[in-house]
Formats: sequence, structure tokens, C-alpha cells
Amino acid sequence: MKPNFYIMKKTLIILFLILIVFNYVSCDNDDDFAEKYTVSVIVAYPDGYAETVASGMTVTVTGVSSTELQNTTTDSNGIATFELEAGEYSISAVGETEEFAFNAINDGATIANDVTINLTLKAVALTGGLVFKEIYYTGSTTLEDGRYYSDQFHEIYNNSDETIYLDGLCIGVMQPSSSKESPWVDSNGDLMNKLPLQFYVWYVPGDGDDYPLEARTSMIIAQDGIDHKTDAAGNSNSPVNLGNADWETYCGDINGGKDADAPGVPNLSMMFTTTTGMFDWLHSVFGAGVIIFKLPEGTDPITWASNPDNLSTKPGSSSTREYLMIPSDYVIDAVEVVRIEEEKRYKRIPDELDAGKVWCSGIYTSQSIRRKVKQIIDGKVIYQDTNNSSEDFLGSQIPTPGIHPTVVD
Amino acid sequence: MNKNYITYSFIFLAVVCQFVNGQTKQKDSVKYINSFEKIPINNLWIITNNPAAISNNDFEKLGNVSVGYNTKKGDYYRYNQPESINSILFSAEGYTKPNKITFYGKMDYYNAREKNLNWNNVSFISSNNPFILADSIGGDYDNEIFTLTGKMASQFGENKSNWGISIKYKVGNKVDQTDPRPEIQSQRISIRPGIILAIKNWEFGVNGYYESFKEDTDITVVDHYISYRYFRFMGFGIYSGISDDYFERVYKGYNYGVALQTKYSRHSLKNILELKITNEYERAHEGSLSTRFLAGDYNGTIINIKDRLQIRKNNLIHTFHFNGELRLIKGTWYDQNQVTGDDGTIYWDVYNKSVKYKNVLVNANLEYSLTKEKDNLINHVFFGKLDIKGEMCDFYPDKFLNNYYNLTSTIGYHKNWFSKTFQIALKFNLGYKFNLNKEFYAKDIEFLETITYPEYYYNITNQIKFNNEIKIGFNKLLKVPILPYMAVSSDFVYCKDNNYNYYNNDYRVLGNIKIGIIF
Repeated sequence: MKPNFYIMKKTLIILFLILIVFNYVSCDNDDDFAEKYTVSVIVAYPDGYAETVASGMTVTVTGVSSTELQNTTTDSNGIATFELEAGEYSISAVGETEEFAFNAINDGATIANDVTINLTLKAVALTGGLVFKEIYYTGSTTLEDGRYYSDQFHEIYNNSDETIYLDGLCIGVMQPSSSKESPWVDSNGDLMNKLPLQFYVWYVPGDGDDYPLEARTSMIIAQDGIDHKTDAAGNSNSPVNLGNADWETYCGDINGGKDADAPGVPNLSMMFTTTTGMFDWLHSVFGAGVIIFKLPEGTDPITWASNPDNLSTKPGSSSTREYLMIPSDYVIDAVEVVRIEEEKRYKRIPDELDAGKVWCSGIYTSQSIRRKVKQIIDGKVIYQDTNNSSEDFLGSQIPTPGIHPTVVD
Repeated sequence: MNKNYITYSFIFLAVVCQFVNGQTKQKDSVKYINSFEKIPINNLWIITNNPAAISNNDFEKLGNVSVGYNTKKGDYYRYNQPESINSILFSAEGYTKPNKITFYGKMDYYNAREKNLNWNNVSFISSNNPFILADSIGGDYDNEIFTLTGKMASQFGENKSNWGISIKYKVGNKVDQTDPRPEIQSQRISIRPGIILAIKNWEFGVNGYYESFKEDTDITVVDHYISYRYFRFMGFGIYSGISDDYFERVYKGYNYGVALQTKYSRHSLKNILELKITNEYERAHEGSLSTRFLAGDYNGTIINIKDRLQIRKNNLIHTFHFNGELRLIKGTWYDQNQVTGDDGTIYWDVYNKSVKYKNVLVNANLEYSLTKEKDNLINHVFFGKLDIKGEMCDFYPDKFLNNYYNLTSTIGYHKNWFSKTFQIALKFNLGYKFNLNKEFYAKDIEFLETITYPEYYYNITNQIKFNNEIKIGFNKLLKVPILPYMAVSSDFVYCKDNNYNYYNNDYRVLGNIKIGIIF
């Protein structure tokens, strides 16, 4: 058969074109593929501490907008090493000696290449004392799929071996509630060492020795001191009975008497308010920064709270509303309760009081946060308190007011 | 229904009436039930992308109007596809050739109720784009798509060279009426000019292609007490999350390409070869111009080679068809953080850009068909087809991978009967998809069990496919030379495997009933 050179010629042209195309495609290999970067976290003790190199500290890396979560321990040089992809991370370090709990956090570390990050620890003396054992704030849904938050409670535990008198103990939630970055920062962008409180601020009445709290026992502050499961004003879906609460946050006449006063549960005293419209003392169902604190001995809470020196308007705001400013030295315990969404877990509490954050799986989920049990000695629970709620607390728990675990977490 | 669609529907009906009215006045308008299927036998150019191809048709007028109802259900479906779909499709298409210029027009209106669709708040983006926006709640979606296609072509010169141009406009609206409530508005518009030059036994064609694309997803909620979670997926079920009661994402992009064709004819032999290369680009972003968050760039390069050889011996037509396609896909992710500008504006600053997703898709199929004609009409068609499809997908920096190759073999038989009163067309196709090779690596992915594994196993499971159609045309039902017809068809896909945690022995079935008129 005679070869058809015309067909062969055309076929060669087509093949040549194909080769050009493949060549074009194969040259497209100069992309920067995502890679992992080496991040060295150098952890150091604070100035003045006997040692400099902080070995044996637990360093945790959490993705701000990803699900990345890694932790490791610093080596003998005080260095923890991670392999991370580019992104924003929260990097924290915690540790404990017999005398001190140590904390440090870098809440917005941007990783885009190999980098070294320095963390200087802050120390808090481990003297024991009052701590939040459990906070139930998410609320519950009703049978009609409505929303119910009157069953909130805060449980405070005496984590020491001695009786502590609660007289003058104060409690309040911080401004802002949730979803927003705190405007209460100094010129360096660091959170102020005075903590702004909003809504209602409460204190335990008494002359100093009226309300003892035995060692390794707790007291419950209810928003409404009723059995929420059975009470006609309650919610049968609620997970808690607060009819035996130790205290209730009754708002009295300040809001026009809208709050109901549960009989049989004593009321905390109100020392300050920024509102006359709220029915109850509400810990935002999205979470709030919450603190317990004590004023200097002999200070009358109401008088102190009315002193303009202890009040401040919101930075950058034209509003004249004033918030109660609590010096961080007065704070006994603080817990940073935040929203579940990574990008809205804003810090409001300074790291030396709480270097971490804790959250539940959502709102109206009947879930609480509970402090981890560190040890159980002779049946008495010692709760973990390193001033880092990421480490110290468990999120999304079934509320257990007045009940203490029987096993270590 | 959207006001625009009511307008479109009126236009659709008016044009259909005009078509049918015009065609029924033609003397030579006796039509057959497989008139459209016969077009590529007599005009090989029609299988290419070149719009000038319609000028080579050997008829002057042909049209089809139909309305069909589809229902699809069964558990064998992708994780981000609806559990069931009920849809209607109005379709009208027609060729006409007044004054040596050939016109082709097609209008489709698709209206579907898609039940229980999760993990998918996109509509028209490329099926290979890994940057999918989704919520986990999902719901029942109403999906409307309107498509208009117009082509015009004519000969020029003395040697039967052709020019042609094609324009296609596709618009869609997809809505879920329960919180969170996505409304997805999409549109694509494309233009395709082309020429065919004839030199002796050879014809050479070239056509260009440009398409513009936009899709806007608005998600709102009625119950503002609840904040919803939205997932910016980037492939393999890996995501960056955000929570809000309102969310908006916009996709914008363009595709362009070129196709070269050559056809050789000699005696009873015809061969056509097409080489096509297309580039696709889509960008996902959120927010306004000054505060824009870049949610991923998709780039695709598609190379396609198609060849059809047709040999006619008396009333037998042997057709060998080869189609090969290579898709090179990459997804570029932007790492960003919010910064405050000097004027107080908060905006997203890109501090790192990297390719996270890479995919190479290979698809090649070889088909042989034997067509037997009787009285110049298609009588029998036997065909066999081998189709190999592979995917090599990587995710960085974790170096996750999902590789597989599947071989699908299909055989089919089509038979037509023609009588004075009616025409019947029967089709049976039977296929088996067999996994040749698979390789998978992924770990510590939050949605490993929900998304990553289901997608992987859907791709590698062995399948039996069966579809059939019976179409009956009634020659004398109306006293005008048009052919009313009714068609019933079904598709059945059965997962043959029972050794995975997903899709074991599941099936998916599609039923369709259609009435129409060929004129």
C-alpha cells in the first residue's frame, strides 16, 4: 500500500501541537505548596524567680481558625518544638511547682515561616483558697422549644484545708459579654490590670465571721433558688434543682420588681449595677469572664462601688455608662468563659489571673463547665488550679450542683 | 417562583408555539423518532466544540419540544448530594436554515425539589473546585435553572468553508427556606466563535471559547438567637470555620480555551480529530472590597483529545470513538489575619499564600458501535465501551492523598421500529464499574467519617449500572406532519461492595417520563 505522505504530515502537525500543550502544562510546576514550619517555643521563668530555664512546662498550640491542637513539654533548655502549617495560633504554657502555678500565653501568633516564639511565665502563689468549682451558664430549652436561663448557677469551692469566711466575698461578670474583643486595653494593647464589671455586682453580707465555708466544701449561688425541674415557674427540661442553693441573686426593686424572690434561699447583697432593665443577674449564655474578689478589709462594698475613682466609662466610647473597675490584686479567682467559635474566643481576663479559656458546645445546651479534680485525699476533693482554665476546666459537662466527683479527671 | 422565571417561561412558550407553527407548514417535515441521534452520523463535526459545525447539517429544519418529570432516590449518593430529587425539565431545541444561514436554538427550564441536601451551599462552581461553602444543617432546596443556547453558522468561499458562533447563557436560583437559609444565585455566559476551512479531502477547524461566571451565596436566618456554623472547605473535608447569623460568599471566574479540529473524508471513511485546551479560574471571596476575605482560588487546565472514525459499508456503519481528557487542578489558599488600617478600617491582610489542594484527573474511553440502517433510518445499534477514570488527589502540607483508578465497561443495544402509525425506539445499556487501584492516606481530620471517607468510598466502590428507555412516536395522532412521542426511561446504579462502612449494597434509581414533539 502506498503511504499517504499528506496524512502523515498532518498527523505530525497535530502531534506537535499536542506536545506543545503538554509542555505548557508540565512547565506549570513552580507552585508554592503548603508546607509545615518549625516553631520553637522558648519558655522562661519570670524575672526574679530562682531559675531562668523553664523545663517540663506543658506547651499547647491551638489553631485560632482551625481545629489544630498540639501539646508537648519543654525540654531541658526550656524549648518546645512544633511542626505547624501557616496560620494563626494561640500558644500557651502552664506548669506548677509546690509553691507556684505558672502561666503564659501568646493569643495571636502568626506562623508563615520557621520561627522562634518566646513566652515568659507569670507566677501565682499556690495558697489554695476559694475557686469556681462549676459554672452553669448555657441555659436549657423548654418543652415548647423556648429558651430558659433562670437555672444558671455559680458554685464556689474552698480548695484549702482551712475554713474560709465568705463575708464580703464579691462576684461579678465582666464587660464585654461575648462576641467582641475587649476594648479595655492599655496603650500597648495589653488588657488593663483593672477588670470592668457590668450588669449586677454582688457580695456576701456579714461582719467577717458570719458565713463560714468549711475546708473542701462548696457554696452555690443561684440565679433563682428554686427546683427548676418541678417548680411551676421553672422548666421541666432544666437539668438542675437549685431549691437548696446557698444564695440567690435577687434583684429586688431595682428593675421594677420583675425578679421573683425564692423563699428559703438567702439573697446576696447588691453593691453595684449598670442596668435597671434586666430581670435577673445573667451570665451570658454565650459565656462571660467572671470573677470573685474581696475588697480590702473593713471596706464597705456599696461605698467603695460609689466612689468615682473606682468607676470608668468604656474606652473609645461616647457613652456615659460607668463600669465598676476591680484591681486585679483583689481578684481571688477568675474564669474566662468564651463562645465555642474559635474566632470569637476573645480574652477579657489578664493572663496572670486566667491564661486560658473554656467553653461549652453551644447555647441552651444544659451544659456547664467544671473544674478538673486534681487529687482526692481522704474522700476530700482537691481541684486543679493553675490559673489556666484551658487546663483546669472541663467544658460541656452535665451540671452537678453541690456534687463533687469521686475520681480524678 | 422568581419573577424572572415567570417571564422566561412566557418567552419559552411563545417561542415554542412559533417553532411548531412554522415547522408544520413545511412540506418535507416528516420526522423520525431518532432524527437527532442521526445528526452525527451524517455530520461528524457536530460532536466537536466548533459552532460552525451546524452549517454542515444535511437537513434544513428539525425541532424538538419536550417536558419531562424525573425522580431520583436511593442511598447511593455523594455526601453533599440530595437524598432525593424530584424535577421537571421543559426543553425546546431546533435547527433552521433560511437563506443559507443555519440557526440553532435551545431553551431548557429545570425546576427541582432537592430533599435533605447537606454540606453544599454552591451550585454552578466547577465540580472540581475544592473551595465549597457549606453548613451542616442543610435542608430541602428548590433549584431552578434556565439555559439558553444560540448558534449561527454559514458557509463562505467556494470550497464549503464555514464560520459560526455560539452563545450560551445559564442562570440559576437555589434556595433553602429553613434556617440557615442559603439563596444561591448563579450565572454563566459563554461565547464560542469558530471557522472550518475545507481543502480537498481535508477540513480544518478552530474555535475559541470564553466564559464568564458568577455565583452569590447569601445565608440569612430568621431566628437570631442561634448562631450557625459555616464551613469554608478546602478539600478532603478540611475546613476553616466561622459562626454568624448572616454570611455571604461570592464566586467569580472565567474560563477560556481553544480547540483545533481536523477531518479527513475519503470514500466511505471519515475521521475527525479534536484537540482542546481549556483554562478555568474561580475565586471565592467574602465581604466588601475594602474588607475582603479571600476564600480560595481554583485553577484548572483541561486537555481533551477526541477522535471519531466512521466507516460505512452499504447499510452498516462502524464507528470507533476515542475520548481522552486530562484535568490538572490546583487550589490556592490564602492565610490572612485582620488588621486595622490608619483610617480605622479593619481588613484582611494576606500573610501567606500556598497551594493546598492538587488533583490530577484522567479519563479515557474507547467505544465501538455498529449501526445498521434500513431505508436510511437507524434500525439497530450495538455498542461496547471501555472507560478508564483515575484521580490523584493530594492535600498539603499533611500530604494526605486519595488515588484511584476505575475501569467501566458498558455494552448496549438500541433497536428502532417504524410503521405507518407509530415508531418505537428501545435502548438497553449495561455497565460495570471496577476499581483497579486505590491508595488513601488521611488522619486526624475532624470530618474524616462524615466527609473524607464517604467521598473516597463512593469513588472506589464497584458498581453495576443499567439504564433503559422506551420511546413511542405516533405518526398519525395529529393531522400535521409532526411526531408526538412519549418516552419512559430509568437508570439504576447498584453498589456491589459490602465490605466497607459506607454504601454497602446501596443503590440509586432514576425514573423519567417525558412527552414531546419532534417537528
